[in-house]
Amino acid sequence: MNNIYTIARKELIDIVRSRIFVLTLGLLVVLIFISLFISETLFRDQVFQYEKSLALLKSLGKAPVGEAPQLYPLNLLRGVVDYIEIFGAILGIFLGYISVFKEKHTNAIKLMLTRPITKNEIIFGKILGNFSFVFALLSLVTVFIAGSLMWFSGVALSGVDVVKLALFVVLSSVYILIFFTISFFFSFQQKVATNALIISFSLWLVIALIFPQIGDTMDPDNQVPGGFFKSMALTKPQELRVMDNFKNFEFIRTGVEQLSLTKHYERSVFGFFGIKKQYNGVPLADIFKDKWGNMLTTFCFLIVGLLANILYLRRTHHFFE
Amino acid sequence: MNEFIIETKDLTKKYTTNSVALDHVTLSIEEGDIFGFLGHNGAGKTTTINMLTTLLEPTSGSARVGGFDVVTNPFEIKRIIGYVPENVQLYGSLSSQENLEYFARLSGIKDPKKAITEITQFLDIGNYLDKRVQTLSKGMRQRIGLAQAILHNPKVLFLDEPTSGLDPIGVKQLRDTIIRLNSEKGMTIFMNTHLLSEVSKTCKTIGILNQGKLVYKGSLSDATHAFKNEQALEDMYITTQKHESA
Repeated sequence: MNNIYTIARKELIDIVRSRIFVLTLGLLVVLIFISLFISETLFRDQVFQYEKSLALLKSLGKAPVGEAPQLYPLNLLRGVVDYIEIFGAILGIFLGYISVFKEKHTNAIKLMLTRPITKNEIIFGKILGNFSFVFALLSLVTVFIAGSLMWFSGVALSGVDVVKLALFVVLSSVYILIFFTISFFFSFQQKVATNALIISFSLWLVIALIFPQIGDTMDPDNQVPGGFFKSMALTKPQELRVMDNFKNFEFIRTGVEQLSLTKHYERSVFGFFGIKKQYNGVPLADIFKDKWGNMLTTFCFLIVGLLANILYLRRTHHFFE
Repeated sequence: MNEFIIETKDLTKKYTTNSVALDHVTLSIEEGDIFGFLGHNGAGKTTTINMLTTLLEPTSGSARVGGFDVVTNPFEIKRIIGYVPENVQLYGSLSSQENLEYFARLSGIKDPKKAITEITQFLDIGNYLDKRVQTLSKGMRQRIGLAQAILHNPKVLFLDEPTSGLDPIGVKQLRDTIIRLNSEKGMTIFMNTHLLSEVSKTCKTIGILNQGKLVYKGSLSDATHAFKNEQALEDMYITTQKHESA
């Protein structure tokens, strides 16, 4: 355990002193600020349009129809989740790559491997160090998010909201760490360093962009802006009856989505933040019940990444061949 | 107790490309020796060190360091060796002190600060401890690299082309340090090099490797007897390379 802590501590100091920390923190803060500003503006526009319609109906002597837009502050974080999905994954890839590349480039890997420590201690030390960095970075960013949300929306966050934000930090850290393990693996496995980056980014492209996009594009309800079934004025039971005729299609579509780590992460966080409207106002325990499969799958991806590294690094001898 | 601190028997390494890097090398080095391993680039010197330091597994044959087998007892070997690879740069963003503390802890030293104080006094590098390694000269980085390798007072010190890229003053300082480590701390030194002048000034015994085969092993004085027509070490080295290449 001491060796893991020693390696993790070194790793953390190394990252914090590099420019990655300041750059990623700065980039995320700016992007999140912009995202929250846009979300808030869109929400205010919805309220404005609703009030305008209301006034018009009143002037015509008609009763108001439809519900007023309700503000759930965490709903405004959709853009933030998108940024974590894309840029968080890139950060994970770079961290994994740098973590190995520095060791190889400076020959320090030889010094480590000639010490009386196990290879697992090296892996876990590096992962703990990088997880600590990502966790600290996201915690700082989330404090900024919480402050900005309250400032933009003028609504104080509830205790449950704070818990949801804490869950977001944990899940996002795990998500980023999975990409770290992917890049870490290929950085060790590939003799040419840039090949590791190319492979990792190719996987990122498939996992974070292509698979989720295929799933979304194939979704019948996404064929019309605002939702196909809504535009056809179909009720939920009617929608379900229609979809009964497309069971095989839905099986394939869902299957493609299930392959994407990003989709599992997204579904979990969208549930917590109520970005999927049906989760607004739902008790946290119920959201957990509904989303535990997605969260579990996300953790499974991490375990697979860890195991791949552990099994592969058992035979490090070939590094020096 | 073993008579020899390093022993290899028919040590062979074939790489995945099927090229033979080391071909049935049998070698024995006594405790307290300064052994110079000579050979041109690609002769198999680094492969030998990589196997003796447990970084690589032999394809066939055996190797023992301090009486421990490199395949079955790598941990025991790691506890008694120090290693300075070629072009070691350590962690640039960390200070020399932080680098040394890091490797001291990984070596299992209970009181890293005390060990660092002793080594910095021995190597006279105290003024550079607070500086980040990336700001140090190549020569100073090499000395910090050497410091990390001897913090735990190893029995055997492996040096891979230790003078590579150093200026003449750096080379002399390193040579003096190697001799002191051997005479004052009793360390056995295994040094890969292709600088013949360094071998003649530092080493007690030498081995010459050509295309993965050991073509000579013995003391420097024996070497001059074995090659009566070539008094200079350089001539002897060139002759062994020619004989094997022919």
